[in-house]
Amino acid sequence: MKKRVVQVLVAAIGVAMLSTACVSNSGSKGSADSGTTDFPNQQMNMIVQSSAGGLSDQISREIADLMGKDLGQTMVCQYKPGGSGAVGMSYVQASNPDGYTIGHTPVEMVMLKNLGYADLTSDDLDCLGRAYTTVGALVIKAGDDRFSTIEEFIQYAKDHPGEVKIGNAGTGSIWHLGAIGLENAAGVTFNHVPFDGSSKSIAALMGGHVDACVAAPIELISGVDGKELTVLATMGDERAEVFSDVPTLKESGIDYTLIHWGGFAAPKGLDEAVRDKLVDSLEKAVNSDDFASFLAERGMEPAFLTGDEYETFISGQTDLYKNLIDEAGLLSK
Amino acid sequence: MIIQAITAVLSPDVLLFMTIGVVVGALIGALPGLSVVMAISILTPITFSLEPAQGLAMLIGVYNSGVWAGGISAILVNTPGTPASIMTTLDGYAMTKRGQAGLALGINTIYSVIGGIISSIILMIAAFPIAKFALKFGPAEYFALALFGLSMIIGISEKSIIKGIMMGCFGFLLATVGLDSMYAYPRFTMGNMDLLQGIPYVAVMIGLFGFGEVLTQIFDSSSVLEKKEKTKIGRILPTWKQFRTFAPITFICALFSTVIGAIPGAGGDIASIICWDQAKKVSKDKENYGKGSEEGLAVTCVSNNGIIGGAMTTMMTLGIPGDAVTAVLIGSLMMYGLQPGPMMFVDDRPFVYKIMIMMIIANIVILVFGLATAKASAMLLNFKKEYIWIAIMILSLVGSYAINNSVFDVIIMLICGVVGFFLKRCDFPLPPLILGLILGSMAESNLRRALALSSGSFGVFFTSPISLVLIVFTCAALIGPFIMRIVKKGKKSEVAHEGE
Repeated sequence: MKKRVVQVLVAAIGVAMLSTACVSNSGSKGSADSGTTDFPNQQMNMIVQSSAGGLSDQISREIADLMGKDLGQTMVCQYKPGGSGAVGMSYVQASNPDGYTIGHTPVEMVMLKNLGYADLTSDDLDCLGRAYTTVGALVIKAGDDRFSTIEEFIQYAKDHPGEVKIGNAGTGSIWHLGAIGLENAAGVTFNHVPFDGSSKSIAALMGGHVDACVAAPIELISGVDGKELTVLATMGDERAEVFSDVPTLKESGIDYTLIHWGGFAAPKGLDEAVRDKLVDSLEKAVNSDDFASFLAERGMEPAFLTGDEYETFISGQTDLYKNLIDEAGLLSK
Repeated sequence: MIIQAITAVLSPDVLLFMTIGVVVGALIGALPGLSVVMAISILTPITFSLEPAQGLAMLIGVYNSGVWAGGISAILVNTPGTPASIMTTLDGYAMTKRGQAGLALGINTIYSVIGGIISSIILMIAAFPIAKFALKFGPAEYFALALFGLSMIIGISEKSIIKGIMMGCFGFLLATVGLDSMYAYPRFTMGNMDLLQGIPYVAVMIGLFGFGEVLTQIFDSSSVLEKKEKTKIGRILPTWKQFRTFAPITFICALFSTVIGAIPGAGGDIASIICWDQAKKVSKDKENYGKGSEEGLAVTCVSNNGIIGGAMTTMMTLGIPGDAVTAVLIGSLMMYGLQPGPMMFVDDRPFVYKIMIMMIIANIVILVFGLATAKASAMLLNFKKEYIWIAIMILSLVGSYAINNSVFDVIIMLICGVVGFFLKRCDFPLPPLILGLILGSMAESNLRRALALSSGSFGVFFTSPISLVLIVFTCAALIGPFIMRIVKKGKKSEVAHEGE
């Protein structure tokens, strides 16, 4: 009999724990909008749209650190990976607009709706500002005897339509769409092979399983230094600082640019004063020396943009990627 | 230069931070749901205030000890602390039930350390050749590897192979949920945002093995009222004779798992799954594998920690992460101003030596710490059952929430707990389900990727030597038992009845 009682107790405790877990989760959303003048007066959340450890995480953590110091509060990173960032960004959208939750919004923000991952556009978020940019780079295995310059590569691709295997970080990722854009601009056809993330596609390139990759410089620095990889061209308007001896596509006669960028956003409906504080703090963080050297090591550049300028930039990018997504046959109706 | 590195690493402050790392790693590893990846990403910013050597000592301590400690909860309460220790539950928990919890913990510690040290030594002497070999793994080879791993569903199906295969297929089916890995098409998500990322297998694992195990025990104890007797802990150290018998097989497993670890994306779960199954085939003790074989346990522990050296090899020589933890470690090293990759061996050679020495020292610290605490950890079993149940329930809830700080994962965990309970009642083995879930997506995406690369020709799986060898092994694994059974049947017919 006594045993029964204990069992019931155990079950009851289990249920109780569950309900508190649920309540406390919904409870935290409702509170904390008391008094905006002393914002922020409690811990803040940074929603990272990827899992811990990747580039998004590193950048978000650096910004969370710098903004937290500036605002005098700790900013804790939470990870909501999945669906090319759809999960994380939708989470930000659905959060309470009290200024205590902001999130990292990389370029994928402008693609999600067209890819059909989430009914979410930049209009559904309060985009505080852009923080950084990094160029795309076309890279091959070092010592490939078929091509060693961008001109030879394009010529080879023209002679062998559909045969050149280009690895990318996943279907619908910026590097996949970027390669499609390159196809259009150069008038060639590739065989696109999606991998589970950039590092896997680069490992496949080093192992000779694909012929080339489009990726960000950060993924390539060590391979290039170690003479495992050769960057044929970068895709910015100007040469990338990390690969200053590598020509841009434009220099090589292909009118095409591809930049990866990212910013930070809050849910819609922020109090004006709170918003100003956040934008201000973000600008300080992005323009700090710490952030500059942090990005330089990773082959990226700080690029703060806010207000109307940022909106114009976003709408331009939205159109660009909508076309590329359409081209790739991924456009969701 | 190596001597210099050793003296640098042996300084008291570095050792202190390493010990802290080992203790933190042990706690995090032993708690289901809290992963080493998480620990390292959280600790990295904290280590910036330290010297690079101190900070890295801490992270390496956490890494090695977290993987080792995943086996502790697997042994004591049948809940793998990390996915890599899933295989440890088979023999480890069986030993605990038999009253040999102490010995199981001792074997876990000793063989984890052996695996860690052997793989670190391989990292020192053969980093570049191994990394070059790992790169040979393209989509076709990954597919063959996943297939080979899946073939062991037979080995862990306990009583009924049919039920095992059913569970494996169920896991496979679950693995298809989410964005399809090739063309990013949402499958079986039913419009649910959270399902886009797929079914989180750590939550599934915690549910099936943690929560489900508690439900099973509650149910069992109400039907069979047994007088509570003190769980025996038994001795900790294996005998010298055991040690000698295990030596050859564990050494081979350590070498093998180092190579598996070096292959990007193949980690401790796959290494221990394959090693356990292969060891079972060649072992004299094969009858006991899965029923509390000391050797089976030793093999899984050695392979768990054996992948660490391999994963570090790929990360340090190529700048490509060998597993999820090294993906984070690359970030940490960059924060220290180091660029993992071939040039690190040229530019920062002293530091590379330091890392290697640290790997070995960390394992020695684990050995001391692990053996010293084994008795205390095993004592936990002497708490009243009810307390343990509550503790596991709390840990399952907290752990599943902590994976991504998401309630969705908790819900998945609870559902899996209930499902696991009923499956267990009906004698369906659970490990094949996890196997299907983990290897399913690896097999599927790489099959499709390989076919995309070969423009649809299946020839790639047979022209690549690695893939061919793996496929031949897989076929042998599938047909082997069948032939064996026919042979046995011919010898004595009553064997067939036993298998029921």
